[in-house]
Parts: sequence; structure tokens; C-alpha cells
Amino acid sequence: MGAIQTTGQTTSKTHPRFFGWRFRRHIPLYLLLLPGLIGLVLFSFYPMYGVVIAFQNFKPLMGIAKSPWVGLYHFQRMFTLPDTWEIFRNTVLIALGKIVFGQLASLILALLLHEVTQARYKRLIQSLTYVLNFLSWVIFGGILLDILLADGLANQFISFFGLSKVPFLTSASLFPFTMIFTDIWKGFGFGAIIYLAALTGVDPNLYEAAAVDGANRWQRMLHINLPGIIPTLVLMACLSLGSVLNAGFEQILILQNPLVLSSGEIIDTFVYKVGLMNYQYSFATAVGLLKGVVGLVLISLSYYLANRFANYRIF
Amino acid sequence: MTIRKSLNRRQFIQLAGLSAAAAALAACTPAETSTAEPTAPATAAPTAMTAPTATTAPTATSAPASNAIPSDPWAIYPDTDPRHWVLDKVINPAKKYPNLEITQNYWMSTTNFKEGETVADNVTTRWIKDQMGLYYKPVWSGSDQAQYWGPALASGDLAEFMTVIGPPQYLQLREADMLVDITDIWEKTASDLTKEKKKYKQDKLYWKFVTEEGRIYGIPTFGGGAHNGEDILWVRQDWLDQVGMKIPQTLDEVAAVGKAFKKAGLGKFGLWVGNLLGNTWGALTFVFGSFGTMPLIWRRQGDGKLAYSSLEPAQKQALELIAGWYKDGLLDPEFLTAYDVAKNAGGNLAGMVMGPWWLSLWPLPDSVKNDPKAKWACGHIPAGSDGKRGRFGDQYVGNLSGFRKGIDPIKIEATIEMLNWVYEMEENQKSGYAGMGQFLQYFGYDYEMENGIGKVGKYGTARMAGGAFDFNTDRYEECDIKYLTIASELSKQDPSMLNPLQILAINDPTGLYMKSAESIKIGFDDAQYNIYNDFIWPMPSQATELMTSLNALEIETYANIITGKAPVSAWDAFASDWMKQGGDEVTQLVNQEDAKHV
Amino acid sequence: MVRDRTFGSQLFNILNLLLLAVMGLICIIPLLHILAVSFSDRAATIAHLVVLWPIRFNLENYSRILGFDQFRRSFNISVMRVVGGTIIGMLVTVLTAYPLSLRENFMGKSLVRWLLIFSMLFSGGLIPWYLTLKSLHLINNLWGLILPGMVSVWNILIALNFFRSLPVEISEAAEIDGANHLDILFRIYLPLSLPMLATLTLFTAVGHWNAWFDGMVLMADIQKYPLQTYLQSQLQNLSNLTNTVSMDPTLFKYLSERSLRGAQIILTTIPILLLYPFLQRYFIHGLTLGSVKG
Repeated sequence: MGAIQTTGQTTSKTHPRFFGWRFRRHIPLYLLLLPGLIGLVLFSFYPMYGVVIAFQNFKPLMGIAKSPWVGLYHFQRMFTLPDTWEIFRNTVLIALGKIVFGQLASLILALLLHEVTQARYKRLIQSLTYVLNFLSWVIFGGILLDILLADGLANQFISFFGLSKVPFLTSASLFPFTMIFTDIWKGFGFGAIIYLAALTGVDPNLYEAAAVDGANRWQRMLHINLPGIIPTLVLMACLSLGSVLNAGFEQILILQNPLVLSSGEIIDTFVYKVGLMNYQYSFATAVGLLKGVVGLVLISLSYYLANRFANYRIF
Repeated sequence: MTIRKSLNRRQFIQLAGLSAAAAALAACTPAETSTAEPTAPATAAPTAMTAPTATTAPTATSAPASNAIPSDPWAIYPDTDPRHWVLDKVINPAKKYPNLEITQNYWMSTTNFKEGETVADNVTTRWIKDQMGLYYKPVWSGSDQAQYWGPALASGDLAEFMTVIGPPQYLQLREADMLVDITDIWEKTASDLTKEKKKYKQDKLYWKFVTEEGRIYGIPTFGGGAHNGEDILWVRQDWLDQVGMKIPQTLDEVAAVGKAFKKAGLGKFGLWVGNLLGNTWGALTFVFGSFGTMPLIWRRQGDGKLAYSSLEPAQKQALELIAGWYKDGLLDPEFLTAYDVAKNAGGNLAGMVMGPWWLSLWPLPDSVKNDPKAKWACGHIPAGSDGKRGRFGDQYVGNLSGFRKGIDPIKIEATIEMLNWVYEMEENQKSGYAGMGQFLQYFGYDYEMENGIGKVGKYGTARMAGGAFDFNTDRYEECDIKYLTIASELSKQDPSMLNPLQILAINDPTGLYMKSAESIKIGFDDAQYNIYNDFIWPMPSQATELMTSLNALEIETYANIITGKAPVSAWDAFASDWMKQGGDEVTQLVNQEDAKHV
Repeated sequence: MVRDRTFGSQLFNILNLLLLAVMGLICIIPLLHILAVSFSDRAATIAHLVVLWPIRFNLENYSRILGFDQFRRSFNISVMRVVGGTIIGMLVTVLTAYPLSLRENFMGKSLVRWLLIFSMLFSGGLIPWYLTLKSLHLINNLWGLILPGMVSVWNILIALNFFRSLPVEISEAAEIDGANHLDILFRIYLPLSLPMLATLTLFTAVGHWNAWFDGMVLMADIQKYPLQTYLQSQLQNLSNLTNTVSMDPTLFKYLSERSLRGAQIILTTIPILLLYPFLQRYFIHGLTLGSVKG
């Protein structure tokens, strides 16, 4: 048994003994994983000890060792604040809206671009749409303020057609939609890139075969392109669920105002305001912990659902 | 299959080539065509003036061509002592130390360094080493001090001389007993002049902050200057002339002027105020003040306890008035969404602007650029119908400086001696520049010469010095009045009697800089109407979450009332909700914290 | 590519092109605005008078920024960071994704995947992260900007997903020929994954180019700031100065610098924009099946 080298056949079945040749065959794989694991341990897992701050009243100078212990105090606070429910609801609504419509918009853009045959035009439009991704929200938010206010470009355009002006940023009922839409505007071009990459993986022979069978354009798109990128879509959606409580801190902080707090205050902006009063590492860490737990639950749920009902492993 | 390998190499080369190209692009700069960039007072390049007489200014062509870092910042021409340009006489430090090194955290927001100079080694650090034998070694010199404090406190790596200490950090440092008790050293070393300058009149709140049981643990600094965050009223004089009215003195007159402007089609709305409902400049706090109340602060009651000010019944009257103004179109309908004084005042959209005395430095000069006919006048904050005035009192009790426990006392003494020296120089300066170290003008850095006239340079050196120069550009109480008075006097003199730096300092094509001499006096004068927050400490940590929620409730309610989305009676519900939703707990915690520092 | 000749198909083509043109236009407008601002006069920009065309056109902003020593320094630091970070990041990504994508099970395979997810969701916060980096001597050090980001869970999972979609016959055939795992990864998988690799390279590079927060926390010296941190520090000062209760009038010269900031934004965005067209050529169709048949 020992004479068989690690580069053996995949087809042979052997009983998985712990330190048997099977394990030795896997050693190269472990070696491949080593850099990533080292990075994970050093930069992610080792600092995780800081999670304990969530259960203390942390003071940086005292350090974790000497900061007073408060147990579940911050979590209790979190759930008993007067606007907790409202903040939570706002966060989930905005985040879900962004995830669902954002991915949809990227997908549609990718499908449309894919149908373009003139390569130069395709590249041009592609480049134009993804440019906004590089602007920070501080900059883009400032521009949006100019565009979306009562006498900004958007409303000038609207009133040109005789319609009444739309309070994009000052109406509590419209604010979440404005946030979702502007986020899509900024990111859908860049988000389409990965779908385009997935589309290039579709075998061009399939198009020929389908055309021979009499399928028209629409049917080709539906039955060839779409299935080609569904795996990517599912992966994106699943991973995005992990950040369902991150509704876009920078964007909302910049575009927020007192008139829309009832629908526009999200978890992160609230935590930020708390931190402005007095450095509040503990509260922020506690919130982060909660977010992580929720994200883990959602990702695990979607993974097992996909595994069980579609026999598909997302990752 | 070798395709991958060759692609790899090609890819890498191309990537490297691209970055090299990018770097090359960045490295070659087009010819420098910068126009004058103003320092404190001047807002534009000096206009052509008659050449100064030979006794006070050297000829323009004798400018030194060497690139060596000068050891004396004022030494530009060998045959003139240029300190005459800045100081009345040569002032040397009282003491010189044998090459003492003190670590410090600098705040280097926007300084640009000359080629070859760095934060740790530049013209001012060398000069200070030369003059006083001190070197303030920067252990941190970023632009955002908040990013310094968290990690610094956590890792225990504190500078010996700490600056920009905010209230929360100060409390932590005290709790861990990391600040030196400097009472005796200060008493002994600080000169009479220094003590005088640092007297800070606002009930000595600044000193109260750092004093515990008679012992002092830090040196308060004034940051931007006294009364810098307090409002006066600015009005477009040319528009007033057009509608034939005078500067409004009362709230009713403000409304009348606003209506008149609107009817005459001048500007977009009458009065500009900031987005925020309080605690900063340019807000509607003056309306509340005229009713004897103020939102968002804590006020000491008869029994010595603190109570939240937004619960006072007079708030309702103020809100009613403001809601009326909003309905009449006196305010920008979107003032709650995004306020931008530069856009509204600079863009000539508003005829009246609430703001501090220094608006005449910025952004009003830009309004003149955009509308050359613009003329601005300033007046006292408007009074209510019963003649009462009140405005939010600026109480910036932050940014202290302190020394780390356990360091050699001579370092503390040296820093205080430096402070003495700088104050003495500042006391005797005649150039018209302001604030600590701002009078330190280096040739080739802060200013250059063009045709014998000073021209603003590219490298502001004041912040490079460290040590006492960097007490966060500390200004004593009347500092700004003083330099504006100097500048005002200079502007009345014959330009041929002034040296190039003085000419540079007072240059004022828009006429607004000289207005500052007037506006600052009004600003200081109106301090008699200030209403201060009696709670000067940071919010106790148990109260922060609750307070954030309550603030949101308040701001939302007030915003809805003002914009007419809710009736004024909604305030009653707010007042009782505030208490019920945790307000009484917060009040208790605030009072507890307050009692700790008696 | 199949080309339909039907009327419906050609109508679709035209509408498609139009729709895409509109989308492209809408997306480019904000950038055109910034471009206009960067070429405009200071007073006009702070009054928000500039929309899409410069007012009082001048090149002063650009010449000033390119003359700032610090801009050049920060630019170089960012370039080094992007190159180093992308190379190391991509290496770690493919090395980690490959074993996890294989069909055969080995001990710990599932565990590692969930560890990755876990690390993406939970964190100890800023202070422990800083202290960890400090003990590794990565503070105030270019490597502190490169190394901590080398494990990108998104990238690994995307790569993993893609590797799994490759037909298993290819690697089986290679194994029969005597190839080991490294061979399979570098000589077979990667060449077939060019579109995915190009995408992830772009994501990684862009991520490094845009990152500003870590520079702010880890660099003790403004002269070591990467470009976006430098830009952010200038912007922060803008907002700090207008929002603080007490203003320092001597800092006024840094306000009203919207036109300067505009030029800065253009200069920091253009280099990374050039990367994408460069990578677009790797979005090649149908390499997968071609190699199996061949």
C-alpha cells in the first residue's frame, strides 16, 4: 500500500483510514489551503476575541482585561429602545430591496449587453455603466443632492412634462425607494460584470442548435442564457443574505435628513450616532454580533434549502 | 500546455507597464501655474501697488536662488533683518534646552511639504531645534485625530505631549490616571502674559474641565477661537437699498425684509439657516433664544439639578413662529435636507444669513465673485417682540493638551516655556496675521515675492512646528479682534509705509475682510445674550443609546412641525413621550455624571 | 453568434441599443458633472452653478494637484498596493478555491467552507484588529495594506463555484496522464477560467484602489497614505471644518475647494478605469467545451 504514490488514480476506492495513503494523497490539497488558512487565522479568527467587548463596557485604555463586565446589557438595550423595531424594519426593507432589485438590474443589463453584436459598442456601454462604482458615496451623494432636490435636474425634467415635483429625499414614504434606486444606479453596471463573465461560459454551439430547432431570440435567451447564469445568481443572492442588515451606511448617512428618519434610519446610522456622543465600542460590537448571527442563520438556511430541494450546493 | 505560463508573464509585464506608465504620468507635472492661494485674511492676489521705498523692502531681483532649507525662517535677505516685518523687536525664548526630544501626536490636516521635507524634518522643526533646543517628534501625524485615539489608547502607545484630547479621551485618561498633575509646574513656569492669555472668560469653564479638587491635569485650548460658533445676522446691503429697508433688529422685521426681498425677486428665499436645529452655528436657535429657551441642551434649574431644555413650554412658541415663517416661504423649503452656506450665501440665493462673524472671510467673498454688486452688512441677532435676545453659546470644551504620566518634568517645563515665547512673539507682532504661529511666515513657504510684493506661497508652515505652536492653533480670547484691528489700522496707512507681508495680509479686493473687524466686535458684543449648555461633559455611556433615540424623536417632531406636516400641538405629545421613553433615566444619568465633577 | 433576420429580432436589436445608450448616458452624467467642476472656477463651483459644462474654464486645479508632492507619493503607494494586493490576493483565492471545489471529500473540507462564511460575518471590531496587526508589525507599513485583505471570501466562493462548473472529465483525463494537483490547477483550470479570473482580478484591484479606511487607521504618517485615504482626508477636512462648532478661520483656504476635489476625483478614478478595457479581452467565449472535445 505504501508503495503507491500520492498521485494515484481517482477511480480506486479505498477505505478512509486516518493516516492512510488517502490522507497522504490529500496533503498537497492541505498545502494549497495553507496560505488562505493562515490568513484567516491571523486576520479574522485571532482578532475575533474582541467579540467579548460586546459583553463589557469597554474602555480602550483599560483594555479587555480590565474593562467592566456588563453581560447582556447592550443586547437588552438594543431590544428595548423606543425605535428599535422601526430601525430594524427600515434596514431589512432597504437591504432586501437593494439585493433583489440590484441583482435583477445587473442581470438584465448583462443579458441585454450580451445580445449586442457590435463588440465596440458593447464595450463602450459596459465601461460607461460601471464608472459610477468608483465614486465614493460622499461624492456621489453630494451630486445626488443636487439632482434630486426640488429644483434639481430630476425635478426639472419631470416638471418639463407637466407633472408635479417629486420629493425624492424629503418624503418618508419615498425615501427607501430613492435609496434603492440610487444604489442600483451606482452599482448595477459593475455588478453586471460577473454575470457577463458567466455568460461567456455558455457554449455557443447551443445557440446554433437551438436556432436549427426553430427557437427565436427570446426563447434562446430564456432557455440558454438564463440557465447559464442562474448558478451565479443563486450564489450572489445567498451571499448577499449575509449582509441583509447592512443597508448602506455611507449612502444613507449622507442622504438622510430629519424628515425621513421614520423610514430612513438604519441600524448602522443609529450606531454611528451613538458613537458620536462618546466612543461606544461595546454597543457597536454587540450590534455587529447580532448582525453576524442573523446573517449566519440566513445563509445556512438558504444553503440547506437549496441542497435539500434542488440538490444544489451553493458553495 | 504552456499557454498559461506565457500569458502569466505577458499579463504581468503589461500590468507592470501600465503601473509604470501611470506612475510616470503622475511624476511629470505641467508647468506650475498656480494663482495666489490666500492664507487667513487675504482672499486674492495683491493688486498692483506702488513699489515700497528701498528702506523697508529689498528689490525683487535679489531673491535668493538656493534651495537649501533656511535655518531661520525670517532670513531672506542678508542685508535686512526681516523680523522687522513681523515683530516689533527680536524676541528670543527665555530658556534654551540641550536637544530635548518630546514625542507628540500632530494634526497635519492639509499641509503640503516641500520636496525633501517631511513631517519629522522640515524648516520649522529645525528652526525650533535651533532656537530652543527642542524637537517634538511626531509619533502620529494623520488628518483624523479620531482614528488616532482609539488604537492609541488601546495599545497604550501614548505620546508624551498629547494634543487634541477630546472630552471622552480626557475622561478615560483621567480614569486610568495617565495625565500629569501640572498645577505646580504651570504656576511656576507660565509667564504672566501666558496666564493672562489663557484666562478664558466663559465662567472659566475651560479650566473647570481640567481641574479636579484644585489640581490641573491639562491645558485647555481654544481651538478655532472665542465665539467662533456663535451667530450674528448678515444681510445684503445692496438688496436692502433696493427695497428701501434697514437692517432688521427684531424677528418681525426679519420676516418683513424677507417678504420684501421675495416680492422684489431678489434671491430665492429670505433667510438662510443651517440644516441643524441647534448646537451649532447658523441654526434657528436665535428664535428659541428670543423666547428665553434653547433646544437640545441641559440647563441648571433652581435646585442645582440639570433638566433638558427642549421640554420647556417656551419651545412651543418658538416652533409656532418658525412654522409660520416656513409657510410664508421665508426659509428655504428644503433647508432640512441639505444645507450649504457656500451654495446659498455664495450663490446669492439668500438675502439674510445667520452665521458667525467670519462669514466675511468665507463664503461671502465668493458671493461677490459671482455677483459683483453684492455688498454685505452685519447686525446683532434679532430680538423677540418683547425685546429679548438669546443665542446659542459656543462652548467648545474640547481639544485639551496634556502630558503623559511619568515623563521627565523638564519636558513639561520646556513646553510651557515655548508657550510663553510664542505668546510673547504674538503679542508683539505687527504683520496682521492671526493666531498662534500664524505670524510665522517663511519665505519660499508661506509666501513668495513677486515684483517686490509678497505673494501667498504653497506650503503653510504653521502646523509643522509641533510643540506649543500646535496647541491646535490655539487662540486666546481676544486674539481675533486684535489681529483684525491691526489689519484695519494697516489698511488705513499709506501702502508705501508697509512691508510686503503686511500688504499681503491686508489685501482685500472684495472689501469684506475689513468688514470682519466690524463683525467680530458685534459677535463678541452679542456674547451677553449667550445661553450655554450647562452640561459640559460627554454623555455617559449608559445614556448614549437612549439619548440617540430621544434625539431622533425630537428632531423628527420639530421637523414635522416646522414644515407643517404636524400641528404645533404635536409638541405636547413629544414632551411627554420624551420622558416616558427613557428621558427620565437619561436625566438621572446626566445629573449623576454632573455631580461627579463638582 | 446566431444572427436572426426576422423583423422582430432586428427591432429588438434597435430598441436594445437605444435602451443601453440611455443607461450609459444616465450613468455617465455624474462623472461629466465632476469633470466640468474640475475645470471650473472656484467661486462658481461652490455656488453649485456648474452643471455639465465648465464655467470659467481653467487647468489650475489639475496643475496644483499634480504639483502636490503628497499626491504623487500617495499615487505611487496606491499603485504598489494594488499590484501587490492583487497578485497575492488572486494567488490565495485560486489556491484556496481549488481544493474546495473538488468532488472528492477530504477531512475538513466542509469545515473550511463554513469557516470562510463565518469569517465574513463575524468580527472582533476595530481595536482587536489593530492590536493584532500591531503585534505582526504591520502598522505604518505597506504590507499592512496588502496582507490583511488577502483572503477574500467572496472571491474564493465565486472561484470555487466556477471551478465546480468545469467538466470533471478534464481533470480526470489529466490525472490519468500523471498530473498532480498543482498541474491541474495551473495548467488546466486557470486557462479555462479566464473570464472568471479577469473578473476577480478586477474586483480585487478595484477593492484595493478604492480602500481608504485601513490607510487612515494603520498609517501614522500622512506621507504614507495611499491615494484614496489622502483624498478622503482632504474631504473629511471639508466636512469637519463646516460642521464643527468652532471653526478656525485660517483653514478657510481649504474650503470652497470643490473644484480642486473634482480634479482629484478625476485623477484618482481614471487609472483604475483603464484597467477594465485591458481585462475585457479575457472575456472569451466557450473555452470550456472546446478543450474537452479537442
